[in-house]
Amino acid sequence: MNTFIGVDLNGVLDTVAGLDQKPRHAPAPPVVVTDTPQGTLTGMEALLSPFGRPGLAANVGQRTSVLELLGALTGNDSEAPHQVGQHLHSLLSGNSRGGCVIAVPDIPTFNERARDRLLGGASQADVNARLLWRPVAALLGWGAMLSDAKIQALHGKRACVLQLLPEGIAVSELDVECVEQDGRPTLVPVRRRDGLRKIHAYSKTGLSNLLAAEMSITDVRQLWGSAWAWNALLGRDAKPDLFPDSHSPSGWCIVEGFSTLQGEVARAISATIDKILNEKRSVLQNASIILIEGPLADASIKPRLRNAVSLSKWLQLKLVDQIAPANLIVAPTTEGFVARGCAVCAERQSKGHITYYDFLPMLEINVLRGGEYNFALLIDKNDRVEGGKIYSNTLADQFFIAQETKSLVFYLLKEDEKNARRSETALSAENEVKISLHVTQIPAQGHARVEIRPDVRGALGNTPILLDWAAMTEIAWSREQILFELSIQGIGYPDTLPQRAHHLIWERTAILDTINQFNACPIRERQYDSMIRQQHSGTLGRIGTRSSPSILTKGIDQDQHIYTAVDSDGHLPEGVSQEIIEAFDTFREKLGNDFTVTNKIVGSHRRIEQLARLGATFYTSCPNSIIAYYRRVVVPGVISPKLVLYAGRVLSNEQDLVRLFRYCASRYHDAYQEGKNLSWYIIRAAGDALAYREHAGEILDPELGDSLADAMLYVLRSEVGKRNFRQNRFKVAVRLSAFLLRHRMHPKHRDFLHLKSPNKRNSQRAKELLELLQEASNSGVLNAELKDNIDQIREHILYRGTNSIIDITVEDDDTDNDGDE
Amino acid sequence: MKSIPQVLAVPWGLCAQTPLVGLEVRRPLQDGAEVEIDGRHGAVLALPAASEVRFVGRRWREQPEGTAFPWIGDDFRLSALPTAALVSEQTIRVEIRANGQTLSTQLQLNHPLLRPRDNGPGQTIGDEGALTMQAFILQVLARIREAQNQLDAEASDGVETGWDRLRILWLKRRAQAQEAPRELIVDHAERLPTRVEDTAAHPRRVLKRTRELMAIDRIQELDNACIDWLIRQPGRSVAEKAGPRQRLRGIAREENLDTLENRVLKDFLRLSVEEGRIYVRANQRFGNTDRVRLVNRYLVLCRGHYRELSDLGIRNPVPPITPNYVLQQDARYRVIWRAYLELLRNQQREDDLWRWQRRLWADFARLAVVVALDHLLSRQRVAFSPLHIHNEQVNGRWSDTYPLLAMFVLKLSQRCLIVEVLDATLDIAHHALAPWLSMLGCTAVVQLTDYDSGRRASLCVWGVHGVAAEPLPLTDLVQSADEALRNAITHENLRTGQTMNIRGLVIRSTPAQAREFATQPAYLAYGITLDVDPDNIREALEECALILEESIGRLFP
Repeated sequence: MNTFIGVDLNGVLDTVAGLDQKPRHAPAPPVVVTDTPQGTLTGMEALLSPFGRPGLAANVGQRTSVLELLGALTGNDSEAPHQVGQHLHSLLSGNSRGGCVIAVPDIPTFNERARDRLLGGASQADVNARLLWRPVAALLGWGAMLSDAKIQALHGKRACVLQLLPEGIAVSELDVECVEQDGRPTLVPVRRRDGLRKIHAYSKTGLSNLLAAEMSITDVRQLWGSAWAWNALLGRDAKPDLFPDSHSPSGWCIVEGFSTLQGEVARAISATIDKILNEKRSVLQNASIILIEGPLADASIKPRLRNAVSLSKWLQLKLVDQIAPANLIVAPTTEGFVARGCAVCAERQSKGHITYYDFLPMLEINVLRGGEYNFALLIDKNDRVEGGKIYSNTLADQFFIAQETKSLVFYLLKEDEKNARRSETALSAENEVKISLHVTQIPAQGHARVEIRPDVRGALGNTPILLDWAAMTEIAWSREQILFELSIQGIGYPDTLPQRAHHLIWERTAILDTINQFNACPIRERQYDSMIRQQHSGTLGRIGTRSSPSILTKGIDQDQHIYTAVDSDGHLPEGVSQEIIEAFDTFREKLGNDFTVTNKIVGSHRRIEQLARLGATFYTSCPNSIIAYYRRVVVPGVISPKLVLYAGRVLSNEQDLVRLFRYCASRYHDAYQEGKNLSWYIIRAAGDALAYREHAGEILDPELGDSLADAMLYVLRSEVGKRNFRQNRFKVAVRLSAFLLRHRMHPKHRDFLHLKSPNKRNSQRAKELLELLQEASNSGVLNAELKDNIDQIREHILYRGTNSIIDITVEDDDTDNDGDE
Repeated sequence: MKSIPQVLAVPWGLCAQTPLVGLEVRRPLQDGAEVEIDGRHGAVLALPAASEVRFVGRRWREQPEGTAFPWIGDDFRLSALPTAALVSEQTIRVEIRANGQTLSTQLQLNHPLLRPRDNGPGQTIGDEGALTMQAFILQVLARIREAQNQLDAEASDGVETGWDRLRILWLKRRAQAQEAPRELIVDHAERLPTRVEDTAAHPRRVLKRTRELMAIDRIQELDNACIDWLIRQPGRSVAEKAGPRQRLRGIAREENLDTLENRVLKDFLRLSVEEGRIYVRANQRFGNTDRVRLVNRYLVLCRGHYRELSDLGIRNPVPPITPNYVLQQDARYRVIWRAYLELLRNQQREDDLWRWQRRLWADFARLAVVVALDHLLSRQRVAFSPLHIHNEQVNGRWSDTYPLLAMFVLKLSQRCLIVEVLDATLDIAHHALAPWLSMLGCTAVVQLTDYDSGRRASLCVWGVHGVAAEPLPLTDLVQSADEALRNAITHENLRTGQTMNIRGLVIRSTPAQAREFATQPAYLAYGITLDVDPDNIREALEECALILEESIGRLFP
């Protein structure tokens, strides 16, 4: 006994057919009733039950039509798949539940997700089902009735299937081939990528509402209580039905049904047909075969003043009249072409024969090729696939999962989906693992299956790791946006490099004496000025001492980093004595007071500047009066521009930093416009602020960031051009280029200095910077440390940076005339 | 208690007064008193709605019949009483608690038909009447269960619901025998013959050790007691001590078969034979079918081995049986033990089936009314309740339906009637069922509405089943029902001022397959019997359909 069973699941006249069996229709309209005292009801039991019917047991149970449930498969109703599955279970007998083929509409809205849900619901109800495109099924069903000669004559022809469905009239274009299988010619439909697949809806409101309007009923539930409203659509005799009526003596009203539709439904269908004949005329004319089928094929309609006629017949007359097709086949519902075609498909699949040819939507996934992110094809759109068979492909690119990688992120682009999908898969790789991606998909059966396969079996556990479509996030990013996001995944800027203090600076130099000397010297003393002169400089013993433990211990301590007496956050180093702390606090207080007093004296500019320089050695713990002074320094034209060299150390809060950056930018713009050199003090100040302050990169706004980048390039370009690789100007510019990258933290400027930035100017800056740094690196005159730092900066620009520190030593000499003053 | 609880001999007993064939139709219950009722005809309790009923010393649960109704200033309800299945159940002690008061009473069921049992194969306790009744109620159950039968391909075309299956099998059944139903004994007959043969032919033996005098050359083992005995014997040598007969005390091993597991095996065989006989008797008409032949062969096998085990001196087990290690773990006896438990549970089910056979009949009568109405040519189907059949009875009911069993539009004598068939025994009533109708103890109510005039009427249907060899005459039942209807109409008229348009139909069981009618026009009620035999049920239902049509016609002259 053959168990090749096909199901035409359309929601109005569901049909089941076996190969040699007469098609059997389910009760119409098919409904599922849930939440009843007897559980879930399907089939005739559900249709006849009183649940959900006005006047009977309206408030008991939930009556839902299968038509609604099929529509709900495209949405998020979590119960719909299960209920559809139960309906399928009721359609099939025990044997046939073990394997059947179900026809599904070939329309964009009934997408992979809907098909996945349908398969899931069937599986829940113990129905083992495969899916087949409805127009393909119709052609297979028709082909099963043809003679061998006829099939052979159809090879290479074009077919158009017009499906009269509850949702509308679907038009599908396919090719037909004749393939010899088991010594006999068989009809093999070919579903083309560029073939037409479109559904023309009868109305925006749907067939149910149209029918309700035609029947003049306000309670739509009355449509699903019995076949009363559907007889005309199914070409059956009209039958009356009983409805509650509070105005009648008995409380009931017997309403006669319709045997012919001549109102809203007829008008809508007629308009749809006319539209198709108009818009798809060329498709219909090019088709050698036109097949009309569908659950509404026998609907009796009376358009305008014509006699009542079946819908399929009427469409046939119109086609003959307007198109004169060569081969026009009209399939009445009794033939069950679609269900039978599904059974034919089941039989062929059991024998491993070709059922039909199909294509799969192109699928791309992000890969890294030659250091560049790109998308590679997982499913090639040019591949032709045998229907019902598994298409599989392994991506040539391989991936490496580093040790202790916690998760893998992939982006997928599918041809028929507007949005991309992001998949994050948790991993537990103990060692580095090489993986490849393998995709399998069966046409019409739901989503592709993408598997992560390690090179070494079991390296990522024993369970196959699949990219789960249901868990993927849809993202409304374009391809370019995704590639951009991928390109900025690495480390794109260095960490801050605060200036550090060391107790040896206090212990091994005469700083404390100098401070005590200052503390003991009143401001009116004659030696006051000479005492404070150059105390800010880095010479040993001065308050601004800059030295390394290696120097201070004469090589005993190997640490060669340069330290100061106070760190860039204004703190003393750990381990200093209480005497130092007290002297330091006194020093700070006196310095502030002295500055305040001096500031009031007219003509004491020199002293003020010296005190300001001295105050800069405190970094952010500089006395407030001096900080206020530096705020005025960064206002153009107000005070000595040289002092800006120290402003980057002293100013730390957001407002002050913004002032500083604006000042730097304006100095650059002035220099640029006047064609003069830009003082390296400007570059140094900006570099200091960005290097010392964690949030400086974000505080910088995009416009200022761009200006500073221009300023940095302005100087760098000039120095590289002159090959001044040993000059402080060059080093300062390089240092700024490193810490300016921290501006990438700004949420609106993440593409700052990015080669692929959509902003052309921005990408040009990046390109130029890379070139300049490359030229410098290749010059052969840089010391190893500076060359290494430059190479690091280049890697950061390309988002391939590491966590190593970029420490470029620059000098503090503000006596250097830059030529822009 | 404000109103006195009553025990009724017939469902409508609360509304009738005239004794029925010398039988009081209702007797009041008094605290501490004993009430004798005729156990042949079943009984119904009428008690305050808010009361709780407890059957003292029994695990029975109360079986309410219908919803509460107004009665003498109080709300009353009806509750079914069981029929005695065992001798001990002829006395039923009942406690009724309401409003903080307790009424304890004892009901003595006289002359009940007890469920026939086999004391051993071929030794049935129970008279012919009981056996016939047993076969009858199994037939009724089989008819109800046909709602879930699978039909063959030809017959199953157009069969979508349980109602359709009943319609096909009850009204269009082919004359030739189909297959006998699948019961537990069929399952055992398929699975167990080899196991039974293997186990019963070679039952487990234990060797018992005893000390006996035996010939010297036969002694293989001695223990301390034997040696002590030997020492005490006169003589100096063993030969002397052995005496003239040359016998000494030694250890003899005796085979013992009378173990717990073999007693269980023997009882299992006895129960299998009993079940097999019931099955064969109930399915005589399927005599040539595979299942019946299979069960017959199994019966012969079990009977034979039962006798063998009896001859071997294996006794009967004394309940309750606590399984030993062998019954639980031994590969052969484990299977026998599980099958034995299944048979014991089945016995329990059959006892319950016997106890609540009146409700079984009522279940069948309800289904029959719907199928009969559906058979009328002039009907148009509107709705049907889902019809599911439980695997086990639930409160005496086997069918699982919604209160609205079916709805039709019926064209009758140029009238168009809306017909709603309602189950009147559920504790959740349909809104169309007037509460006062519950006091009549109906099985079902056919609610009718004239489509044009809106005039309403009710046809009360009673399923009456007597657990007696001779049921009550139908005409007497109809007369009593008539009186009850008239009294109820008067009562409701006085209460509400409305005139009720109501008639009745008594559907009585007929285990002996005798057909009776009671259709005197003078009475408000008609009466028929329904034969459940598969060969006769079609005709019986067709007659039922005609009677229903006639009864409905009388409501709308």
